[in-house]
Amino acid sequence: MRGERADAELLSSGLASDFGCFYDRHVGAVTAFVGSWIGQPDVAFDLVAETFARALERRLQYDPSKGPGVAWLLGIARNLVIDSARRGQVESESRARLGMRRVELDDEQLEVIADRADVRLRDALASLEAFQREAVIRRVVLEESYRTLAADLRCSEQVVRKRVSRGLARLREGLERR
Amino acid sequence: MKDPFVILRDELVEAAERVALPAPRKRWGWLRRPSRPVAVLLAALVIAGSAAAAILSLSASQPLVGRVPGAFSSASLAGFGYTIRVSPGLGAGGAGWQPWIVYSGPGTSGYGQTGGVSAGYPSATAPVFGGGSPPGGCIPCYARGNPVEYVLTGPQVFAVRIGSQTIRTFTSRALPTGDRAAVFFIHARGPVSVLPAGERPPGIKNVIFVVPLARSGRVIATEPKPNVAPWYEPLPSTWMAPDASTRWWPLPGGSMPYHGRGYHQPAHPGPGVCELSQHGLPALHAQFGETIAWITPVKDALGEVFLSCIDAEYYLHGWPIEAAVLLDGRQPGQVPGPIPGARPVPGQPGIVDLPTGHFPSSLFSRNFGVTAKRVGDAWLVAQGGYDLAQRVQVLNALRISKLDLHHLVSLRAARCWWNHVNRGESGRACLGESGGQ
Repeated sequence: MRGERADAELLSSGLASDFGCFYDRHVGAVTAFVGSWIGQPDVAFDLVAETFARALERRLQYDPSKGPGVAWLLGIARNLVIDSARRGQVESESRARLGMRRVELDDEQLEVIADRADVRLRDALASLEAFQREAVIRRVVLEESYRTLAADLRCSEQVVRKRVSRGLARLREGLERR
Repeated sequence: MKDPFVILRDELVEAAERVALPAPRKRWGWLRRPSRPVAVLLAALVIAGSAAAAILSLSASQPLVGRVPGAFSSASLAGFGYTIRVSPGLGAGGAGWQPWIVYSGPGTSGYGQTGGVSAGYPSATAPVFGGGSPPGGCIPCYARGNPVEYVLTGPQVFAVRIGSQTIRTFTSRALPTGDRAAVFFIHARGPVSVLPAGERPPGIKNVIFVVPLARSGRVIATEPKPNVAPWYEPLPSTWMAPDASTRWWPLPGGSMPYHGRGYHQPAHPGPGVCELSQHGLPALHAQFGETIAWITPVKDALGEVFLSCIDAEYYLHGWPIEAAVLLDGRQPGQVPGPIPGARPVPGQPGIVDLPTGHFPSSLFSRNFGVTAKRVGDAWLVAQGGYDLAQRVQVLNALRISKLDLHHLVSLRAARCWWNHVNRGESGRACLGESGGQ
């Protein structure tokens, strides 16, 4: 991780290749996160694609002071999953606006997606230390504020931020090792 | 076999290259002043006034409910019936319309899709507010040629130019009051995007550009709508029942990833301008919802628009039903107009229904029918459920227990609040301002 360029730098540089690096860095975590909610690989892939398309559109809105890039991405993914469930279809507005083609998937590709989406996120979370796990879940999944977390956990916001950040980094490393 | 994640990466990097390109110097170059002969013709059209329709070569629109030309075939949608409707958006704090189209044919349960240019409402500079077939909306529809397209517009649009055709728009009681539509058949395979002219996303294929025309024949200038929700929309406060994790999530085998000790999300609706209560139907459980703390009237809307001040997802015998309270969007507190296309329900005075049927091809195969009743100066709405009878049952069990129209916030105050919140401040001082725009 040392020497790795920050997410904020990759998102704000304006270089397409940097966004590719950002994608490489986080696609595993996003796929696992979406896969833990969605059982259908084609739908999961659609959600991953829309998540990154939305991130590309909103790349300049990412504020590193509010948390690591992967938390921002998982927040986008979470909202998309909920919106898609409530509306009955996967949203595709960002991909349409960006002129992205729909990726036609054959059976073999669906298997690849199913394999990567089948990461037991709970297992991966279980590998974290308890204090990191709680911080990650409450911040990323339940979207609680750092202030609330700090008050509940009786520590400073800075400590909570570190726990979330380190927990997510560990989670990402674990998912990438697959 | 190419790894789909690599394909997606390539697509994203290409898209990133496109968005990184500097904007063309003349973004609205296509709206350049017309050449002299065209200018003369347009001037003549203006002078001729209502005779413009006779001078323009206008095609008649197809109806909102009709049949795809050709003999029925299992490989296409030829011979299928189609129905185009709009239903109100129910999300708290939002205003606008959700357009949809359903194809039905013998021997099938039908295909349907919601979607459009962007769910919303027409304004002076964004007169086209619905239509098109977004990628991913209905895969069987694309596979079968996706033959019917439509455009929903504001009252100021007399006709739309689509390629070499100019199609006259029409009003209908199935559309929001004042709004118009044009429906046409196409012969395309694959996703088709209907976009206002000038908004072409680079690289996108199968685009149908829509040029809105005024009665005079003049092209109505449009501006792209912002990609994100308008800054002045109040952010809804979300809540979810503690037991919702096992009930509300409609995906097989899915559940909230975590609902243990750390679960501290609001478990009940927060205070808001509107509240719902229920009685007499113990099996009805509220699972999920949103409330808003103030109302910002939708001043730029042309035509009818509703504004939702609360929405909640209830479950009744395993069926999800979304309930909401809708106000007149432009002047909350005034009696809102009719629900487009809704008809009175026999034996249920004051209740109307907009049947949509199921959307079998959608992700969750849900019923999107809308049933509503007037309560004072609002609509109490139920959407989804098993059928009309269930929606009526829910409507009769719900009450609007609070409707506080004193928290109208002007656009200026909302902008002030937004700026404060973006700086990490509370912004409450801004909301001391009240009144309309």
